Amino acid sequence: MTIISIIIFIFCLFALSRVILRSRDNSISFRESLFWVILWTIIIIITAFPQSTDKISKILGVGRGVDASFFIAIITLFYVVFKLYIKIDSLDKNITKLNTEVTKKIHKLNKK
Amino acid sequence: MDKQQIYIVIPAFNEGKVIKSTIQDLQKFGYNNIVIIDDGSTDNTRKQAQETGADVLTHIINRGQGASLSTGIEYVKENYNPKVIITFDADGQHNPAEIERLAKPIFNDVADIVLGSRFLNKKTKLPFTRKIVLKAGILFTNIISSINLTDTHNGFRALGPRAIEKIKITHRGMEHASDIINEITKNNLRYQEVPVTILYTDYSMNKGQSSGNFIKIGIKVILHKILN
Repeated sequence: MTIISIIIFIFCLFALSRVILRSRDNSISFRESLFWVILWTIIIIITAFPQSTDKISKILGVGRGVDASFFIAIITLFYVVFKLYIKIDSLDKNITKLNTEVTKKIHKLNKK
Repeated sequence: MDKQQIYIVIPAFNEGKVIKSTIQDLQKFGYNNIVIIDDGSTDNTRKQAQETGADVLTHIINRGQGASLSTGIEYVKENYNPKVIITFDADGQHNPAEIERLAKPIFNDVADIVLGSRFLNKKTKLPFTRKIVLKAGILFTNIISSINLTDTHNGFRALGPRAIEKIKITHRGMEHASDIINEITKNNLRYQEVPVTILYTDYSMNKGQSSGNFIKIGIKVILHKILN
Protein backbone atom coordinates (compact mmCIF):
# COMPACT_ATOMS: atom_id res chain seq x y z
CA MET A 1 0.00 0.00 0.00
CA THR A 2 1.36 3.44 -0.94
CA ILE A 3 1.37 6.43 1.42
CA ILE A 4 -1.40 8.17 -0.58
CA SER A 5 -3.56 5.01 -0.31
CA ILE A 6 -3.07 4.98 3.47
CA ILE A 7 -4.03 8.69 3.71
CA ILE A 8 -7.17 8.16 1.56
CA PHE A 9 -8.03 5.04 3.58
CA ILE A 10 -7.78 6.89 6.92
CA PHE A 11 -9.77 9.84 5.57
CA CYS A 12 -12.54 7.51 4.30
CA LEU A 13 -12.77 5.83 7.70
CA PHE A 14 -13.03 9.25 9.33
CA ALA A 15 -15.75 10.29 6.84
CA LEU A 16 -17.63 7.04 7.46
CA SER A 17 -17.54 7.64 11.23
CA ARG A 18 -19.00 11.16 10.64
CA VAL A 19 -21.82 9.69 8.52
CA ILE A 20 -22.68 7.18 11.24
CA LEU A 21 -22.62 9.89 13.94
CA ARG A 22 -24.83 12.25 11.88
CA SER A 23 -27.21 9.36 11.15
CA ARG A 24 -27.43 8.46 14.85
CA ASP A 25 -28.43 11.98 15.90
CA ASN A 26 -30.91 12.14 12.99
CA SER A 27 -29.11 15.07 11.31
CA ILE A 28 -29.33 13.19 8.01
CA SER A 29 -32.01 10.82 6.74
CA PHE A 30 -31.58 7.05 6.33
CA ARG A 31 -31.45 7.43 2.53
CA GLU A 32 -28.71 10.04 2.74
CA SER A 33 -26.69 7.94 5.22
CA LEU A 34 -27.01 4.93 2.93
CA PHE A 35 -25.77 6.96 -0.05
CA TRP A 36 -22.70 8.25 1.81
CA VAL A 37 -21.90 4.86 3.42
CA ILE A 38 -21.99 3.20 -0.03
CA LEU A 39 -19.87 6.00 -1.57
CA TRP A 40 -17.14 5.90 1.08
CA THR A 41 -17.14 2.09 1.09
CA ILE A 42 -16.59 2.05 -2.69
CA ILE A 43 -13.68 4.48 -2.30
CA ILE A 44 -12.17 2.26 0.44
CA ILE A 45 -12.46 -0.82 -1.82
CA ILE A 46 -10.91 1.02 -4.78
CA THR A 47 -8.07 2.29 -2.56
CA ALA A 48 -7.39 -1.16 -1.09
CA PHE A 49 -7.76 -3.03 -4.41
CA PRO A 50 -6.91 -0.57 -7.22
CA GLN A 51 -6.93 -3.37 -9.81
CA SER A 52 -10.69 -3.80 -9.14
CA THR A 53 -11.31 -0.75 -11.32
CA ASP A 54 -9.62 -2.32 -14.36
CA LYS A 55 -12.85 -4.09 -15.36
CA ILE A 56 -14.78 -0.80 -15.25
CA SER A 57 -12.07 0.92 -17.29
CA LYS A 58 -12.34 -1.78 -19.97
CA ILE A 59 -16.14 -1.35 -20.15
CA LEU A 60 -15.80 2.45 -20.39
CA GLY A 61 -12.94 2.24 -22.87
CA VAL A 62 -10.63 4.27 -20.61
CA GLY A 63 -6.96 3.25 -20.47
CA ARG A 64 -6.37 2.60 -16.77
CA GLY A 65 -8.57 1.83 -13.79
CA VAL A 66 -7.37 4.93 -11.95
CA ASP A 67 -8.39 7.11 -14.93
CA ALA A 68 -11.85 5.55 -14.91
CA SER A 69 -12.16 6.30 -11.17
CA PHE A 70 -11.23 9.96 -11.74
CA PHE A 71 -13.65 10.16 -14.66
CA ILE A 72 -16.55 8.82 -12.58
CA ALA A 73 -15.55 10.98 -9.58
CA ILE A 74 -15.61 14.19 -11.67
CA ILE A 75 -19.02 13.38 -13.18
CA THR A 76 -20.38 12.59 -9.69
CA LEU A 77 -18.95 15.86 -8.32
CA PHE A 78 -20.56 17.89 -11.12
CA TYR A 79 -23.88 16.26 -10.34
CA VAL A 80 -23.53 16.94 -6.60
CA VAL A 81 -22.64 20.61 -7.29
CA PHE A 82 -25.67 20.92 -9.58
CA LYS A 83 -27.97 19.44 -6.91
CA LEU A 84 -26.50 21.77 -4.30
CA TYR A 85 -27.00 24.78 -6.60
CA ILE A 86 -30.67 23.89 -7.05
CA LYS A 87 -31.09 23.39 -3.30
CA ILE A 88 -29.38 26.67 -2.36
CA ASP A 89 -31.36 28.57 -5.01
CA SER A 90 -34.61 27.16 -3.66
CA LEU A 91 -33.61 27.99 -0.05
CA ASP A 92 -32.66 31.52 -1.10
CA LYS A 93 -36.05 32.04 -2.74
CA ASN A 94 -37.81 30.73 0.36
CA ILE A 95 -35.85 33.13 2.59
CA THR A 96 -36.90 36.03 0.32
CA LYS A 97 -40.57 34.97 0.48
CA LEU A 98 -40.37 34.59 4.25
CA ASN A 99 -38.71 38.01 4.55
CA THR A 100 -41.52 39.61 2.51
CA GLU A 101 -44.23 37.96 4.62
CA VAL A 102 -42.55 38.92 7.91
CA THR A 103 -42.06 42.51 6.66
CA LYS A 104 -45.76 42.85 5.77
CA LYS A 105 -46.89 41.28 9.08
CA ILE A 106 -44.64 43.56 11.18
CA HIS A 107 -45.83 46.60 9.20
CA LYS A 108 -49.47 45.65 9.79
CA LEU A 109 -48.86 45.21 13.54
CA ASN A 110 -47.02 48.54 13.77
CA LYS A 111 -49.87 50.31 12.00
CA LYS A 112 -52.49 49.08 14.49
CA MET B 1 -55.08 62.06 -14.39
CA ASP B 2 -55.96 61.22 -10.78
CA LYS B 3 -52.68 61.17 -8.86
CA GLN B 4 -54.41 59.46 -5.93
CA GLN B 5 -54.61 56.32 -8.06
CA ILE B 6 -50.85 56.30 -8.56
CA TYR B 7 -48.63 54.48 -6.05
CA ILE B 8 -44.88 55.02 -6.03
CA VAL B 9 -42.77 52.07 -4.83
CA ILE B 10 -39.19 52.95 -3.88
CA PRO B 11 -36.66 50.30 -2.83
CA ALA B 12 -33.98 51.82 -0.61
CA PHE B 13 -30.80 50.44 0.89
CA ASN B 14 -28.59 52.80 2.90
CA GLU B 15 -30.01 55.90 1.20
CA GLY B 16 -30.25 57.98 4.38
CA LYS B 17 -28.48 60.94 2.73
CA VAL B 18 -30.96 61.34 -0.13
CA ILE B 19 -34.19 59.47 0.62
CA LYS B 20 -35.86 62.43 2.32
CA SER B 21 -35.29 64.82 -0.59
CA THR B 22 -36.37 62.16 -3.12
CA ILE B 23 -39.69 61.69 -1.30
CA GLN B 24 -40.21 65.42 -0.78
CA ASP B 25 -39.65 66.03 -4.51
CA LEU B 26 -42.40 63.52 -5.28
CA GLN B 27 -44.72 65.11 -2.73
CA LYS B 28 -44.17 68.54 -4.34
CA PHE B 29 -45.58 67.08 -7.55
CA GLY B 30 -48.70 65.91 -5.70
CA TYR B 31 -47.81 62.22 -5.25
CA ASN B 32 -48.79 61.17 -1.75
CA ASN B 33 -49.06 57.40 -2.08
CA ILE B 34 -45.41 56.64 -1.56
CA VAL B 35 -44.27 53.23 -0.31
CA ILE B 36 -40.63 52.87 0.75
CA ILE B 37 -39.09 49.44 1.18
CA ASP B 38 -36.12 49.86 3.47
CA ASP B 39 -34.05 46.82 2.50
CA GLY B 40 -32.43 46.21 5.87
CA SER B 41 -30.44 49.46 5.82
CA THR B 42 -27.81 49.99 8.47
CA ASP B 43 -28.06 53.80 8.33
CA ASN B 44 -30.99 56.13 9.11
CA THR B 45 -32.91 55.49 5.85
CA ARG B 46 -36.02 54.34 7.70
CA LYS B 47 -36.11 57.31 10.08
CA GLN B 48 -35.52 59.82 7.29
CA ALA B 49 -38.29 58.29 5.16
CA GLN B 50 -40.75 58.12 8.06
CA GLU B 51 -40.27 61.83 8.77
CA THR B 52 -41.83 62.63 5.39
CA GLY B 53 -45.02 60.71 6.21
CA ALA B 54 -44.35 58.03 3.58
CA ASP B 55 -45.43 54.44 4.21
CA VAL B 56 -42.23 52.63 5.21
CA LEU B 57 -41.86 48.84 5.25
CA THR B 58 -38.62 47.43 6.59
CA HIS B 59 -37.00 44.19 5.45
CA ILE B 60 -35.53 42.44 8.47
CA ILE B 61 -32.55 41.38 6.35
CA ASN B 62 -31.04 42.81 3.16
CA ARG B 63 -32.43 40.91 0.17
CA GLY B 64 -31.76 43.11 -2.84
CA GLN B 65 -33.63 45.47 -5.12
CA GLY B 66 -35.76 42.80 -6.82
CA ALA B 67 -37.00 41.46 -3.48
CA SER B 68 -37.76 45.00 -2.27
CA LEU B 69 -39.79 45.81 -5.38
CA SER B 70 -41.62 42.51 -5.03
CA THR B 71 -42.50 43.30 -1.39
CA GLY B 72 -43.64 46.82 -2.32
CA ILE B 73 -45.80 45.72 -5.27
CA GLU B 74 -47.37 42.88 -3.23
CA TYR B 75 -48.09 45.26 -0.34
CA VAL B 76 -49.78 47.86 -2.57
CA LYS B 77 -51.73 45.16 -4.44
CA GLU B 78 -53.04 43.60 -1.21
CA ASN B 79 -53.93 46.82 0.59
CA TYR B 80 -55.02 49.32 -2.05
CA ASN B 81 -56.63 49.41 -5.46
CA PRO B 82 -53.92 51.01 -7.60
CA LYS B 83 -54.48 52.09 -11.17
CA VAL B 84 -50.73 52.54 -11.63
CA ILE B 85 -47.65 51.49 -9.68
CA ILE B 86 -44.51 53.48 -10.47
CA THR B 87 -41.15 51.95 -9.61
CA PHE B 88 -38.75 54.74 -8.72
CA ASP B 89 -35.12 54.87 -7.59
CA ALA B 90 -34.26 56.21 -4.14
CA ASP B 91 -31.05 57.96 -5.15
CA GLY B 92 -32.64 60.93 -6.93
CA GLN B 93 -31.77 59.72 -10.45
CA HIS B 94 -35.38 59.91 -11.64
CA ASN B 95 -37.43 63.01 -12.37
CA PRO B 96 -40.91 63.15 -10.73
CA ALA B 97 -42.09 65.47 -13.54
CA GLU B 98 -41.85 62.51 -15.93
CA ILE B 99 -44.21 60.24 -13.96
CA GLU B 100 -47.24 61.58 -15.84
CA ARG B 101 -45.63 60.63 -19.14
CA LEU B 102 -45.18 57.06 -17.88
CA ALA B 103 -48.66 56.75 -16.36
CA LYS B 104 -50.58 58.29 -19.27
CA PRO B 105 -50.64 55.22 -21.61
CA ILE B 106 -52.04 53.15 -18.72
CA PHE B 107 -54.76 55.69 -17.90
CA ASN B 108 -55.60 55.76 -21.64
CA ASP B 109 -55.67 51.93 -21.61
CA VAL B 110 -53.20 51.56 -24.46
CA ALA B 111 -50.48 49.80 -22.43
CA ASP B 112 -50.21 47.39 -19.47
CA ILE B 113 -46.67 48.42 -18.67
CA VAL B 114 -44.67 51.50 -19.62
CA LEU B 115 -40.88 51.40 -19.52
CA GLY B 116 -38.71 54.47 -19.18
CA SER B 117 -35.88 54.70 -21.71
CA ARG B 118 -32.85 56.96 -21.33
CA PHE B 119 -31.90 56.31 -24.96
CA LEU B 120 -35.04 57.74 -26.59
CA ASN B 121 -33.83 61.29 -26.05
CA LYS B 122 -30.42 62.83 -25.68
CA LYS B 123 -31.02 64.53 -22.33
CA THR B 124 -29.28 61.89 -20.20
CA LYS B 125 -25.56 62.58 -19.81
CA LEU B 126 -24.26 59.05 -19.66
CA PRO B 127 -20.62 58.24 -18.75
CA PHE B 128 -18.96 56.45 -21.70
CA THR B 129 -18.12 53.14 -19.96
CA ARG B 130 -21.61 52.95 -18.46
CA LYS B 131 -23.10 53.51 -21.92
CA ILE B 132 -21.09 50.63 -23.43
CA VAL B 133 -22.01 48.27 -20.59
CA LEU B 134 -25.68 49.25 -20.76
CA LYS B 135 -25.82 48.79 -24.54
CA ALA B 136 -24.29 45.31 -24.17
CA GLY B 137 -26.85 44.51 -21.46
CA ILE B 138 -29.70 45.73 -23.67
CA LEU B 139 -28.54 43.56 -26.59
CA PHE B 140 -28.20 40.56 -24.29
CA THR B 141 -31.65 40.99 -22.68
CA ASN B 142 -33.32 41.60 -26.04
CA ILE B 143 -31.89 38.34 -27.39
CA ILE B 144 -32.69 36.33 -24.25
CA SER B 145 -36.26 37.69 -23.97
CA SER B 146 -37.10 37.92 -27.70
CA ILE B 147 -38.10 41.56 -27.42
CA ASN B 148 -36.88 44.81 -28.95
CA LEU B 149 -36.34 47.53 -26.35
CA THR B 150 -34.03 50.54 -26.31
CA ASP B 151 -33.41 50.37 -22.53
CA THR B 152 -33.80 47.21 -20.47
CA HIS B 153 -32.25 48.08 -17.11
CA ASN B 154 -34.08 51.26 -16.26
CA GLY B 155 -35.77 51.24 -12.85
CA PHE B 156 -38.28 53.94 -13.86
CA ARG B 157 -41.46 52.12 -14.98
CA ALA B 158 -45.23 52.20 -14.69
CA LEU B 159 -47.28 49.07 -14.10
CA GLY B 160 -50.97 48.95 -14.88
CA PRO B 161 -53.53 46.57 -13.30
CA ARG B 162 -52.77 43.66 -15.67
CA ALA B 163 -49.02 43.98 -15.19
CA ILE B 164 -49.46 44.26 -11.40
CA GLU B 165 -51.47 41.05 -11.46
CA LYS B 166 -49.29 39.05 -13.85
CA ILE B 167 -45.68 40.08 -13.23
CA LYS B 168 -43.80 37.84 -10.81
CA ILE B 169 -40.33 38.95 -9.81
CA THR B 170 -38.27 35.84 -9.07
CA HIS B 171 -34.78 37.32 -8.89
CA ARG B 172 -34.07 39.14 -5.67
CA GLY B 173 -31.14 41.17 -6.98
CA MET B 174 -30.60 43.49 -9.94
CA GLU B 175 -31.54 40.68 -12.35
CA HIS B 176 -35.18 41.52 -11.59
CA ALA B 177 -35.08 43.93 -14.57
CA SER B 178 -34.67 40.95 -16.90
CA ASP B 179 -37.46 39.16 -14.99
CA ILE B 180 -39.87 42.00 -15.73
CA ILE B 181 -38.97 41.97 -19.45
CA ASN B 182 -39.44 38.18 -19.57
CA GLU B 183 -42.83 38.49 -17.91
CA ILE B 184 -43.92 41.01 -20.55
CA THR B 185 -43.37 38.51 -23.37
CA LYS B 186 -44.56 35.51 -21.34
CA ASN B 187 -47.89 37.16 -20.43
CA ASN B 188 -48.37 39.03 -23.71
CA LEU B 189 -48.54 42.36 -21.91
CA ARG B 190 -49.00 45.53 -23.98
CA TYR B 191 -45.90 47.63 -23.49
CA GLN B 192 -44.61 51.03 -24.46
CA GLU B 193 -41.33 52.83 -24.02
CA VAL B 194 -41.25 56.53 -23.22
CA PRO B 195 -38.22 58.81 -22.99
CA VAL B 196 -37.01 59.62 -19.48
CA THR B 197 -34.00 61.51 -18.15
CA ILE B 198 -31.62 59.87 -15.73
CA LEU B 199 -29.62 62.26 -13.62
CA TYR B 200 -26.15 60.83 -12.96
CA THR B 201 -24.55 62.38 -9.88
CA ASP B 202 -21.35 61.39 -8.07
CA TYR B 203 -23.58 59.97 -5.34
CA SER B 204 -25.67 57.82 -7.70
CA MET B 205 -22.59 56.65 -9.63
CA ASN B 206 -20.92 55.52 -6.41
CA LYS B 207 -24.08 53.81 -5.17
CA GLY B 208 -25.05 52.27 -8.50
CA GLN B 209 -24.00 49.10 -10.26
CA SER B 210 -20.36 48.59 -11.12
CA SER B 211 -19.66 47.55 -14.71
CA GLY B 212 -18.36 44.14 -13.52
CA ASN B 213 -21.64 43.49 -11.77
CA PHE B 214 -23.44 43.45 -15.11
CA ILE B 215 -21.45 40.33 -16.07
CA LYS B 216 -22.57 38.65 -12.84
CA ILE B 217 -26.18 39.61 -13.62
CA GLY B 218 -25.83 38.13 -17.14
CA ILE B 219 -24.50 34.82 -15.76
CA LYS B 220 -27.35 34.60 -13.25
CA VAL B 221 -29.95 35.29 -15.96
CA ILE B 222 -28.46 32.58 -18.23
CA LEU B 223 -28.33 30.04 -15.37
CA HIS B 224 -31.93 30.83 -14.48
CA LYS B 225 -33.00 30.38 -18.11
CA ILE B 226 -31.24 26.99 -18.33
CA LEU B 227 -32.56 25.68 -15.02
CA ASN B 228 -36.13 26.83 -15.57
